[in-house]
Amino acid sequence: MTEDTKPEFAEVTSERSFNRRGFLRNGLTVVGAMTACVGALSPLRELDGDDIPSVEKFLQRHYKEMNGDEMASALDRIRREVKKRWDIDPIVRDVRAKDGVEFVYALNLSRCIGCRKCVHACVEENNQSRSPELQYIRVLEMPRGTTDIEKGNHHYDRPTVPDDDHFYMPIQCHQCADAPCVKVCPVEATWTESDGITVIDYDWCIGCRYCEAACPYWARRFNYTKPEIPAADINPEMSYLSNRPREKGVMEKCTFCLHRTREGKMPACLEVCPTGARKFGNVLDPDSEVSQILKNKRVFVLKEEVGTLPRFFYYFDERYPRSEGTAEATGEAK
Amino acid sequence: MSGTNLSVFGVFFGLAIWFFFEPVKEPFPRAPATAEVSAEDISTASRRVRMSEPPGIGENEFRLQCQECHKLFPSDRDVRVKLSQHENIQLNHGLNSWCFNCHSLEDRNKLVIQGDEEIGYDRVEELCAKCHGTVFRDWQRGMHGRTNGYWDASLGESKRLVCTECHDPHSPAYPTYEPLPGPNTLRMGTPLQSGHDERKRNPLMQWRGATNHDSTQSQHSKEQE
Ligand code: HEC
Ligand code: HEC
Ligand code: HEC
Ligand code: HEC
Repeated sequence: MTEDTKPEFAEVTSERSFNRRGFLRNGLTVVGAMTACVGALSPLRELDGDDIPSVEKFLQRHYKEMNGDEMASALDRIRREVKKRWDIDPIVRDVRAKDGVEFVYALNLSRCIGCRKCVHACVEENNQSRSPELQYIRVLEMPRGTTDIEKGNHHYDRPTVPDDDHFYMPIQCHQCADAPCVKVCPVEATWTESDGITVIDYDWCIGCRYCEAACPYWARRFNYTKPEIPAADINPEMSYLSNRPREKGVMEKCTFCLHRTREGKMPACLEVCPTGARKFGNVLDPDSEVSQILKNKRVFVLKEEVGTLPRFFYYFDERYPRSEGTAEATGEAK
Repeated sequence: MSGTNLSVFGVFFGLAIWFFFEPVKEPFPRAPATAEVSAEDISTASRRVRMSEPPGIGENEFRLQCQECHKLFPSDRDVRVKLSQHENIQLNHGLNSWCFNCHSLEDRNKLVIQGDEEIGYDRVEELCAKCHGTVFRDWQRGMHGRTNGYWDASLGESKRLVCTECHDPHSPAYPTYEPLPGPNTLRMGTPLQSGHDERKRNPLMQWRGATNHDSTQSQHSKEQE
């Protein structure tokens, strides 16, 4: 019986598919699906215009592939964006590496007192996000007798520094010669330039954070949200590869203030250091301060065993000024 | 047939309502903003202002050169007087406890270096070099002290701070500083209020649910066993 009626029934429905029930049923499904689509897209309502890259920015090529005109228009776009957001007329430039220059940083751990002036001078200089807070330099308070950075604490909060039982070790990007962050980047948005500075094309970065994970020094920072900087705190001297404002979703890090240093100046963290613990210069010049230090002091690098070949050196003076610590503090450094 | 369609519709519709109204909206956690620091806190000026040449004390029209007074009453080389005039001077320079190790006995506008040679206050580093040869040589090479300005002399001037712009010659040990505020970053963990157990402040240690780095490690090794 059923076998007989079935094809008949099927025939009937296919012939008269526009019956009332079918219409209602299909109609409801379509309406439901459309509402679902709209609903699913509704988070887009929260997008503000700045989250969507302009066509111009979207079409912009990789830093290394841009020709002069393209770079000029990219810089001009950045200028317009800054003007629009903060009502400031910045000086945006593309500062290139010079021949015969390789930068090296040296830090005298016998002198550093942990005052954190470098941290805040860096924030000002490099237009780092104030909210949420983002800082390139971490000053670790280390128990005497070790240079194991895992034992350091960067939240120390004392009425005065230095504390007699600790020494202080600032860490920032080490500008490694064999940089793991560069190797893991899937889109080549970060690379090492001829003067040794590892840079990021913020417009090319896709925010995957592989580099952050690869860095053994915890030196890279990610913009989880849109960086907020009060207009009064903006440093209008900007460069493409360093301190121009960053977007949400990109990485950033210390660039040895390349907009300053490539023009012969000292980085901001050094300028402010009250003890003179920070030293910077060109290693290819044998008379530079850093060359002298590499020649005359027993320098060491952090996590030498991972083979990153940092351009950031630490050293202790022979005579450790603040009593005790001497032997142990330098002992580990060997 | 109609049952499936209806339930598909029901699921879509339910989802649509859910997405559209999103009853529970988790705001993105925002870390506190960077603490304000004053421009003075991150000034690049030297810590001290060194003595000008010729040296003197007092302000403006009341400023007297050292020798204007001292030519009137020569000091005795061997008799140490208790100071009534320069009460602000507290000599706290280790074994170096005699004014005339540094100041000239005859001409108070001068400092003395080896062989009783007298120099002006503008060459004060040579005075320090008399006793601190090693540090002085480090300083000459730029390994001690600070050089502001340009590292590349062909592009601009640099200024190397002189000893007395950092050290008080009478009490040369470095003072302590009040540290500027520490980090608040999400990635760096929130600072702890009570503040005694420093280990708790390390976010990585917090996430692992341990109060102590070493105990976490031993936990891991136990798991491996
Ligand atoms: C207002 C006058 C006056 C001026 C200006 C002055 N001094 Fe004196 N100084 C004195 C007197 C008075 C004494 C003796 C202190 C005493 O006997 O209590 C003295 C004592 C000294 C001593 C200790 C001498 C000793 O006998 O042990 C030194 C060192 C010294 N002065 C250095 C200087 C220097 C350096 C300057 C310039 C920066 C200077 N003085 C400027 C009045 C002056
Ligand atoms: C280590 C060497 C040294 C010794 C020891 C020394 N002085 Fe001085 N004194 C200096 C120098 C250098 C200056 C210049 C200070 C500056 O540049 O700020 C100075 C400045 C002064 C001044 C003027 C500046 C001021 O702060 O008022 C007086 C007064 C003075 N000394 C007195 C004395 C007396 C008194 C003694 C002994 C108790 C003494 N000094 C011991 C090196 C020394
Ligand atoms: C006459 C010799 C002499 C002269 C000149 C001299 N010093 Fe000293 N200095 C000493 C002695 C001695 C000590 C104590 C060393 C110790 O206690 O281990 C000392 C210690 C110091 C210290 C270490 C203080 C501490 O407690 O950590 C500093 C910094 C210093 N001198 C700076 C200077 C400066 C800057 C000058 C030049 C203005 C200078 N000295 C000139 C002899 C001298
Ligand atoms: C940028 C500031 C600065 C300048 C400039 C400077 N010093 Fe120092 N110096 C320091 C600091 C910081 C210490 C560590 C002191 C401490 O921890 O108490 C120090 C320590 C010293 C010590 C103690 C010994 C040691 O090896 O630790 C001596 C001696 C000394 N300085 C002499 C000099 C002399 C001499 C000059 C000039 C040629 C000079 N300093 C210039 C900042 C400076």
